[in-house]
Amino acid sequence: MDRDVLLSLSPLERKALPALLRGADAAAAAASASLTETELLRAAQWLANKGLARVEKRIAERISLDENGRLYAAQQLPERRFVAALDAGPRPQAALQRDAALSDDEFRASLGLLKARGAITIRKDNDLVVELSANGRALAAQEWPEERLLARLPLTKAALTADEAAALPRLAARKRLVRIEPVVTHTITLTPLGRAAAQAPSLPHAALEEITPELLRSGAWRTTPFRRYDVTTPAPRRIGGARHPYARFLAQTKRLLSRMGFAEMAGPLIELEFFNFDALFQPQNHPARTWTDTYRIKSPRTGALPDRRLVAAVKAAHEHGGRTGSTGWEYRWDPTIASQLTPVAHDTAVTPRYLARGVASPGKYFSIMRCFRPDVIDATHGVEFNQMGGFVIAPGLHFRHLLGLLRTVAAELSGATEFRFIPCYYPFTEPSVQLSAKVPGRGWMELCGAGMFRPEMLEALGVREPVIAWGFGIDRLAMIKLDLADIRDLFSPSLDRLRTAPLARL
Amino acid sequence: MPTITASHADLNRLIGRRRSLAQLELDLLWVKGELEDTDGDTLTLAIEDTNRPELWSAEGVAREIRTHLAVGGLPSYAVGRSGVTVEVDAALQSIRPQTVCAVVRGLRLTDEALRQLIQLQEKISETFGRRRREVALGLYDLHKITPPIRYFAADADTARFVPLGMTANLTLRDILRQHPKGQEYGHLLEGAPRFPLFQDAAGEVLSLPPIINSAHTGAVTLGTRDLFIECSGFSLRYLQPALLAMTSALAERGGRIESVDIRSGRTILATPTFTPKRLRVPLALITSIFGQRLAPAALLRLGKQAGMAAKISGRALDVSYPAYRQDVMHPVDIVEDLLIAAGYNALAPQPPAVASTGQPLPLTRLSEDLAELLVGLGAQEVMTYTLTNPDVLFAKLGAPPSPTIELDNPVSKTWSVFRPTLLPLLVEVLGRNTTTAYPQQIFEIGFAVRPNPRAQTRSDTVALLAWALAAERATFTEARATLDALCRALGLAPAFEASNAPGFVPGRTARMRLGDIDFGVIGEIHPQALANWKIEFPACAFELDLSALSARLR
Repeated sequence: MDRDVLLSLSPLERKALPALLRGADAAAAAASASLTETELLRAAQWLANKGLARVEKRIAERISLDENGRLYAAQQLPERRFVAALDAGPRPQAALQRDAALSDDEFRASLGLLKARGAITIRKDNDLVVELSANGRALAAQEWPEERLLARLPLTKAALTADEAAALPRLAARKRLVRIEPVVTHTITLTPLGRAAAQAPSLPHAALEEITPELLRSGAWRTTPFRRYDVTTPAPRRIGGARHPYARFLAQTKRLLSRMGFAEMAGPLIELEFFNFDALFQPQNHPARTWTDTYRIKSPRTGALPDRRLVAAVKAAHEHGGRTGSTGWEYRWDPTIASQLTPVAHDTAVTPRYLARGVASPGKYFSIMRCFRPDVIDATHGVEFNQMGGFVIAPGLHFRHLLGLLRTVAAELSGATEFRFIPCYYPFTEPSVQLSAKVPGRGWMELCGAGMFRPEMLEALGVREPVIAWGFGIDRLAMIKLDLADIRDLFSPSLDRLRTAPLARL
Repeated sequence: MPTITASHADLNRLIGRRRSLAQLELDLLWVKGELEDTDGDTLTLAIEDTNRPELWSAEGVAREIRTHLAVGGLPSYAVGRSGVTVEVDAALQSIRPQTVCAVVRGLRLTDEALRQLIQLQEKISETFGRRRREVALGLYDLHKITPPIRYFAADADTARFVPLGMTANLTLRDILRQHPKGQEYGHLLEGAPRFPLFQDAAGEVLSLPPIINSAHTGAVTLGTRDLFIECSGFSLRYLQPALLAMTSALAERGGRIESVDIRSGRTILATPTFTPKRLRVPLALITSIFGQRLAPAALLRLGKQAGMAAKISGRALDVSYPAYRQDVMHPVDIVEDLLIAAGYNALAPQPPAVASTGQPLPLTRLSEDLAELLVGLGAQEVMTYTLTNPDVLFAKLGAPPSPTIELDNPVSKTWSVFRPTLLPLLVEVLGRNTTTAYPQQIFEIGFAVRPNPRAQTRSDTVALLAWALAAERATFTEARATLDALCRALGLAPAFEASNAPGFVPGRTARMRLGDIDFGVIGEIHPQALANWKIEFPACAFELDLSALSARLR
């Protein structure tokens, strides 16, 4: 006997094997091995997997007495009582029903059934009188197959005689006489290998199960072999902790930009329009600043404008270009509009605060901000979204630096290798550019908008060096990386989803 | 960003060359345009620049492309004199004081030309004119008008005419009430003592700007040969380019432009005028933005491609550019045109060699460290919206409402209030996952917004960490054990003070302090809050103020 086979047997299998040697019926074997039938079947299945047994599953139809069947098996069928009561001679209906002790239903059913078999005749004699026919008298003298069947139940369908089998549909058609159910039986036969194992003298000897502290202390492992596990058996599902895929992506992006030499910035979620728009040289009548395009705060509606010099410089830039030689937007700039509060509408809102405060130059800066716009929510517009933006400040920066920077950052973030620069328009940059990239698996996509900050904006903020700036729709990038088609799924509240999401390769 | 439709065949006719769709896609870069969609011959074009109405028609786009392809230089349009005058009433000063007008003769409008004309009129008024406030543009059949024309402040209750699209002769005030356009744009005349009106010498009304034309003079059809055009508003800065965009487009269709004299008091202004604008663009500026010195010949050629006449004079490029280009505020605007003419994709990108040490904010580092610890402790991170509603924040939790920052114009009540705390949103997450396997151990790190009347933005944005556990066993001790693990890792030993924070079981909740800063709350979630979310497992939770912690740890 192969020792490896014996060592691979679990305690349950060791117990089941000798019982299976004695008989093939699962129920009987279970009883003789003092196992439940379920345990025995589980053991048999494992043995079968190892080629030690064959499990044959048979489904038979088992016929048993139902509620009325039990009653009639004890008290005779109603039609038998009907015939028996008529044996003494014709009877009026009422008397017959009483003598045979039949309910209304039973009486009607028996009458119909016996008439159909030509066992009775009915004549009118004041009352309706019932009488056995010759055929009926013959029937009264016999035992019927229905009765024999009822007496013999329960049986499997295979065990029925021919006339019982013919009677079964008649009984089955009646109310709650018999029940027909499938019964599964298992026949387990040991293979020659299984028989050898069952007879192996070493079978009863223990193999070690789980390694326990007790076992380690006792040192029993020195003398007893370990049971060999089936290493292909699936294990129960384990739920552990994990980062949210989108948060993980954002964190990774922050690390990437830090590695590329960018310092992180952050700003408030509720911002003055002054910083969100005016300091970015966005005119106050710009369509993006209307009630339908920008969220407003209910109360208080306005905040405090920053220091007077900065406000005066921004006002001058809008009205006549300040000292830049620009014409500006040529309108009356209104400080009340600038003091309105708004949830940040774009990531660039954080930039003027930093520039006005003064930043180290040369320097590279970035931020990832939650942004808010009153969009109708659909597959491409979420309740909130994230933008990633940043800027580089250094003497001598030019437009081709911006193109080079965009290509480097976009390549790092998206994995794209083909890029296209598209002229575009933003109120605060000139020249302005949009970067489209051919993203693997998605085709051409607009990835980011960028430009060189306008002189009017920089002058008002007191910046004397060129600044190149860019903003990425980071959500779209995340959707590519996380393989999502609907932007709302970035914020899916489903734990099932989070628990089963494969780890995205970022 | 204006979106227009055009016919491919018509565009080709206007350009004067056959351009394939692939060629057009590249050509459109010159007008900051993109081919959004094609449907047979019909093209949908998105034009990025919101300040260049002269590009919002097939004629304007074609002119630009043609100029680029032919290195055509400054486009020029001859302007004759119409002899028509418009008298402007000084009483309009506070109502809608300005107008500029023109006559265009000799038109042979095709279906497509008429469609472009109407599309441009609408785009100018709606987008460039800020929904007709800054600019309303009207077109009239010149032959139904008897000059001179008056633009004056009329009495709203006695002046009357039949507006386009109706048959009744209505007072101006009734037009505002009854005509669909009156209902849509009437607010632009709200509170005006009298209403602006264009009327001819025969007493025939042309229009009530910026609302509606008259049915008699203001209907333009395929058969219209000669047009009178008016723009009304407040500032010539918007009105002039609008009129030039319209008249130059019509000239591209073969129309002859004629000027109209606008008389206000003793001043006379003849409009339109195509006299080019001039700007000196320092060569040093061009070099500094291109990042390289361009040969004079190359520079002049770029200028011609961009539709300008340019010559080098001293240390500057002396540029003449079309009068309709009101988007040019500063020499950088010209430099961008030169860059576009050169082609962005023909420039050599050059990553900036700026040596700097990058770093995440201390708060980001703290957040990442804590997330790592919590994931190690078996928690699943979740992400919720910053916007929520009072039901989630207070009612469901059984907490009395506290002040919040609320949106004035929310898209939906569900997302109308900024969360001042994070914990209620975690309870909401538990409430939305009651059919998912337990235990559920979750956390979120995110921002909340709290009212603060003394702050510049009347609010503080604070970073918070919230953690929650729903399980067979979810006790105060379970929460405390997790919190302690975090505190130990950060080297913090907070003091716990019994509190009665709402939403928690009384006697099983505490606030955490570090010296004099209160940095969080911990406890067992109240069964009523669980019941409100139909959560059938006990839950415990804590919330930490990461902004305060980060400041303390620094």
